[in-house]
Amino acid sequence: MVVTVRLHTTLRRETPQGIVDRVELELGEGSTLRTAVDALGISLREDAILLVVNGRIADVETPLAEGDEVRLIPAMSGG
Amino acid sequence: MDERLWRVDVARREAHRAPVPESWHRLGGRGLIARILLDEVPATCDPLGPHNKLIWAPGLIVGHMVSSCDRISVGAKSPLTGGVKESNAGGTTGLQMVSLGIKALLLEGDLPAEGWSVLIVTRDGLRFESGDDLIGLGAYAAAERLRGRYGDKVALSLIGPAGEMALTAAGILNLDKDRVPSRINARGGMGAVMGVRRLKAIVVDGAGGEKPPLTDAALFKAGQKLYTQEVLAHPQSAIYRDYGTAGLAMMTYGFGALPTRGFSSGNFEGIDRISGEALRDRILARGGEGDTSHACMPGCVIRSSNCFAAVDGKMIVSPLEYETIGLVGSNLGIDDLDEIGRLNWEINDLGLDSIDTGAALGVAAQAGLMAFGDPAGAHALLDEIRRGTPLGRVLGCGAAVTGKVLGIRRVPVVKGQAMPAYDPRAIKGTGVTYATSPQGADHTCGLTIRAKVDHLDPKVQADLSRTAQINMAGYDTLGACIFGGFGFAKAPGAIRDMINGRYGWGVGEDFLQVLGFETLKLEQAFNRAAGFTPSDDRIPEWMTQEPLPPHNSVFDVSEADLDRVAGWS
Repeated sequence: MVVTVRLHTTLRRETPQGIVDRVELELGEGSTLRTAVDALGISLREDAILLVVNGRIADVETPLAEGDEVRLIPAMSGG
Repeated sequence: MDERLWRVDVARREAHRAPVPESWHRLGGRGLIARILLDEVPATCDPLGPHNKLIWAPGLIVGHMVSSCDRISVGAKSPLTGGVKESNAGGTTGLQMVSLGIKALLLEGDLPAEGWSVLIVTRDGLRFESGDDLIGLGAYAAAERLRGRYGDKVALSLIGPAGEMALTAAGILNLDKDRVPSRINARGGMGAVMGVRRLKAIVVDGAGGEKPPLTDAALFKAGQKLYTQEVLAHPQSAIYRDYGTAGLAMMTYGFGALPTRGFSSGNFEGIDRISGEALRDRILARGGEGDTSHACMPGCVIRSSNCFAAVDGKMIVSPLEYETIGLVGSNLGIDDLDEIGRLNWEINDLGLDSIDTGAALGVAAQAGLMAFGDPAGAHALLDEIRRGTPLGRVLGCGAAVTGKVLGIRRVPVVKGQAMPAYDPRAIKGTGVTYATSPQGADHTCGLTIRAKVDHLDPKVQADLSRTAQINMAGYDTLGACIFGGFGFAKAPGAIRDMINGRYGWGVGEDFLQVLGFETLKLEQAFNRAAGFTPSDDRIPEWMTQEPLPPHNSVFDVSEADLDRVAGWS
């Protein structure tokens, strides 16, 4: 299955081709959010990154399905 | 220098310094304003009449350039909400007031019948000069003229044309560390309360002033060091430094809560053009006067502010923040950051709150007075405000008045104050804050978007909002920026040590919550005396009925939960 991962703010990546803030991931059936995060090589700092699937808060055990939109959001607030 | 109340009668052009009553000593900023309003302002008074008082109150730890902790609170009975109001800002006003020993400065007494004043506050006392030549000037030009007259080192609190017209969405502008009048006590119409007293500006000249005394300097410094270390180490500080609050645009969109076209959707198709990521890329590519990281107060190590320049490298506006991007951008269907920035400059120059003004334009767009997605149409409406036309005055009184006059039902307000850029149908905890805060709809009273909860679940929001509101009321009383709060959360002992180091009060680690809870109780007492009832602690009915795409959710936190939070017991 293929899922889309959006990388917010400080998780964006600078590459020779430019800044990457959207990645399409090919994952095996039964994959969870942890699989996606591991595939991207991102270390999850507790309370520092919000995991969101299709607009709802999720956790590393959340199962993924074809076409899901995952957001990895360095947690921030407004003022 | 002893702390004093500086009481100012603009009509008689008299002022005197008075002792601080015992029961006011242990409060500052927002909490002190609530205490003063309860003690000295009849809750049922006309907010734009002689019995209201306009109060400047620095927070309790202002004065030592502790990072992000020199904020100035301004408050009064609000002409926008009819209730208690405190609005705080960064800049240099708080720091300079404290250096002169000002615990609070109060405008009180009769309303002047004619003539405009400038109040000059110095170490030697207060004096008045004429402000007649400044009337009609935009805030930027007025600030420049005042700096020319009184020097580059003074702090200023001034109003723009909107305050002169006593429009109820008018704010009070303060200079940032680069002397730009962009740090705004924006919410709740404090500029109108200043305008009816025909006071164009307060000039605070801290020359010869001194830092407030410390009871135990070593303890204070230890607390400051611990706090500063935690702020610097916090991952959130790095986000603010590089992306500013604008980073919230993509986050709020990701939760389906980005106000779009008059709060009709949480899903804006132009998000990639107005996001914090796009803003940063644009600032870096253009260079010139642009800067992705800028401190609004001297000594701030977070530097979440920014300077946004055009392709020619010349400044468009500083700062460009998320709430304005949400209310003036996606809420108006505008997907061009340059246009949003130019509208932001115009709103600042008029001396208006960009949240209530953006929301009012969104209501006007629903009524067909401008097209969504048309910056020229938005500029034309702002020009109506500048010219003081009847339509302009309606818009400058904010979204609630605009909705009533234009016959629009979908108005995003609570207690007459416009919602910031988080639709409460998709971030329901923040909706609880909007509904139950004594201040009216205000994200700075308790934003919940950062919490790891299901923002659509109505059952888990009340306690989340309550905790956030207590903490925020505490920070507002200390004079601490919310963003510094993330450092304090990791080092709660730092507040205890700084307060005990400065005042010797022997407070505990829970002092933040003690202050916050006391403040909220005082504020709610004032509102109840002003005539507010639980029916005022509600989200507008249409938001409980009309589903918000993309989640198609409504605001459905129970009224019992809202009443429980708003009881503040």
